[in-house]
Amino acid sequence: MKDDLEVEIRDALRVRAQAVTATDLRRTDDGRDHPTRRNVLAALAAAAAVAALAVGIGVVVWPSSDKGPTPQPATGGAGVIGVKWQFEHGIQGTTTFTSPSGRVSIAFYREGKFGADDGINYLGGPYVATADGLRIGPAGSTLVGYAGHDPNVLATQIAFGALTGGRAPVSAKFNDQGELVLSGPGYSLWFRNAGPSVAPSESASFTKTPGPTR
Amino acid sequence: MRDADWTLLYDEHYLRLVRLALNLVDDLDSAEDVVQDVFAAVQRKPTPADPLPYLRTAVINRARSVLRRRRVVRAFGARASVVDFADPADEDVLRADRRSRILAAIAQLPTRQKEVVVLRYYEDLRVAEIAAALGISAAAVSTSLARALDALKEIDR
Repeated sequence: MKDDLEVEIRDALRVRAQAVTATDLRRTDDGRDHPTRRNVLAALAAAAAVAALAVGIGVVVWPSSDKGPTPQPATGGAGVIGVKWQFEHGIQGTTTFTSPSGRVSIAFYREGKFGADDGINYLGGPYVATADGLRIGPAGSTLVGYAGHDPNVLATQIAFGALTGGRAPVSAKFNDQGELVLSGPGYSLWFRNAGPSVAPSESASFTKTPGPTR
Repeated sequence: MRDADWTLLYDEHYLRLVRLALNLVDDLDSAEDVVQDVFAAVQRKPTPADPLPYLRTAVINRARSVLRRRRVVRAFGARASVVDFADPADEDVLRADRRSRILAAIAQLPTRQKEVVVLRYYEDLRVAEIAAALGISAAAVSTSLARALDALKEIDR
């Protein structure tokens, strides 16, 4: 038990460290600076958008596993709809990030509408249940700016933008801990059940309204 | 040693030290800042006979400052950390999930325990070497390691 844990710790630390290569660094042997991480995040967002457009109808297939239980697909949105899902952590490209605040969540209402909070803006729009998940969006959004540097905030905004863009199907599966895993081109996001979703009133529509910079 | 020797050490150890710093501060941008700050601070100093342990300790100390600052920031609302690993598209997502949980749990450890875990399991240092790097006793290293492993076992509960 302890030995297994030690092996897993060693593996996790090494895999993360070895994912960093000389080309990821700002400074390389040629003496030139590479883009900062903020620029990389912006590039990731652009790449995700291009990938989503290029993939079009692509569906992310959950890799097979020889360890642990098989994640269960949420066929037709079963178990997903009517629930508010609080964001836990995600992977976008090579970056893993965690929820920057407890407010980051997405809720699927029974009327085919969803509402989400990416920590800075509120998003909302239609969704359609598919054979192995959902097609979410395209979303409308409030337009609050974020002038900070927290990489979790930046990555979460980018990931929610990709998730709710409506450009590609999103696979929805439950892992063995009951978490909802939403995956699309280049990202996977983990959510925990935060209780039933309560549909917003008709007046709580989402419009593209400029807001203050945070 | 002359300044030029620090340049050689920079070329030789930069990536390795960034990877160590990444495991201590959990995001690449901060990790590079840590290592660059270390080299900026030492460039006018004579190089020690055995520079790698010296640089490693300097990185640990600088990373500790970053974590201390980050704790203050978190007190005002920000939370958690960024961790990087291989592209999940090429991996078993369940294993990536497990790694993510382990790294998140390590990130939550008290600073001393986290340092001990990283030096033991990433740098593969012996207890005596960890004690020398951190400037603490071997007994303190063993105690911190045991407590860290106890805390990390909670991942499965």
